[in-house]
Amino acid sequence: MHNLLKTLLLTVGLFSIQSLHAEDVLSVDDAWVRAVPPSSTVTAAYMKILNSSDVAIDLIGGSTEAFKTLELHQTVFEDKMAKMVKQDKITIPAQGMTELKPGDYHIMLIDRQVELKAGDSVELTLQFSDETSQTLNIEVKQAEMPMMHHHKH
Amino acid sequence: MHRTFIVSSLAFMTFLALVIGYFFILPVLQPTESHGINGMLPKPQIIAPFELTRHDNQPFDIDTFKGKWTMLFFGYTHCPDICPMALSILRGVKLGLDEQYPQQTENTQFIFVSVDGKRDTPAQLSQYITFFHPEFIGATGDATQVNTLTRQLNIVYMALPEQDNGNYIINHSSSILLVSPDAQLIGRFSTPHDIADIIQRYIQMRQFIEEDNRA
Repeated sequence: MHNLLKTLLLTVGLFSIQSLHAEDVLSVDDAWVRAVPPSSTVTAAYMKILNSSDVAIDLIGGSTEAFKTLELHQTVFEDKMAKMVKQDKITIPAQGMTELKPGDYHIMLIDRQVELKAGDSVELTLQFSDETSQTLNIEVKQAEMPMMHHHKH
Repeated sequence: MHRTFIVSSLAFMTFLALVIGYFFILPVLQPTESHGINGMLPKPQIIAPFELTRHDNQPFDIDTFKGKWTMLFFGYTHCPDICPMALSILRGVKLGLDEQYPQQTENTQFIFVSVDGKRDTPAQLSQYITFFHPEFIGATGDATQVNTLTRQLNIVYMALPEQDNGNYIINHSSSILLVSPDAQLIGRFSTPHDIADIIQRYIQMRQFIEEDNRA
């Protein structure tokens, strides 16, 4: 009994450390999903991901109920074209920040399952290479104007 | 005596023609050196006839350009990043012109040409383009019709293989083109796009051409 309790406490302890770790190391700022016409089934999510740890961490994927598929992409400009290049991961450098923004890294959201308009929010879970994940509520926005500052997650 | 007069007159006239040519005609033929506006073509390029269909089923052809300045962008409605970005930029340009240049905004139009005629019907385009601005125009057509326009404007695009979910991506040129009211390509705004910068360069290019036409 004593041993079981010890194991239990240890497990709970480790679990809290694990989630604490996720909260502390990575944070997401200025996240938004682009509002697109009602007829569109694809769009993209953008955000800043900050890594306060001493090791690089990769964003490796994610999921949302609002879209069937989620892919990591980068728009690159070459051969006179804007090219969409699928990424296996997007690296957030140690003690650094990676910005997912229009015309660059973005999370492509494919096959919309629900109606979305500006002002709505999308619940999105991001998976990271350190085996942590983060669930965000991201606002849908239309504007190309400078983004409003979001609360940190 | 008579002959000498003719020869010297010819010589003088030739000299005069050279002087006029050097100081007046050459600068007009080579506005590169004089306009110095980033993105403006060294000289306007005449656009040859083409036939496309607008989102409201009206024809989009060479006559659509007549009498208006046109900002042209090429893309497709299933485009996740660059097209909505460019169209939002163009929305910003439109709103900025409305506010700062009411005279110029009156005869400025914005046309989005789809390079994905397979999926982009006029009806699909209609829902898409008016979302960005009710006055924006969408245009579509089959590949041959689209290529008649894209090839002469140096716009390139390439569809990637279809994925399991049936979706496919099209890589395409991301420049915004400026066409004059006499259907000539005037300028090319390449990425990265900035609303204020595009407005400023558009007004400069337009003034330059309009002054040039008056001269």
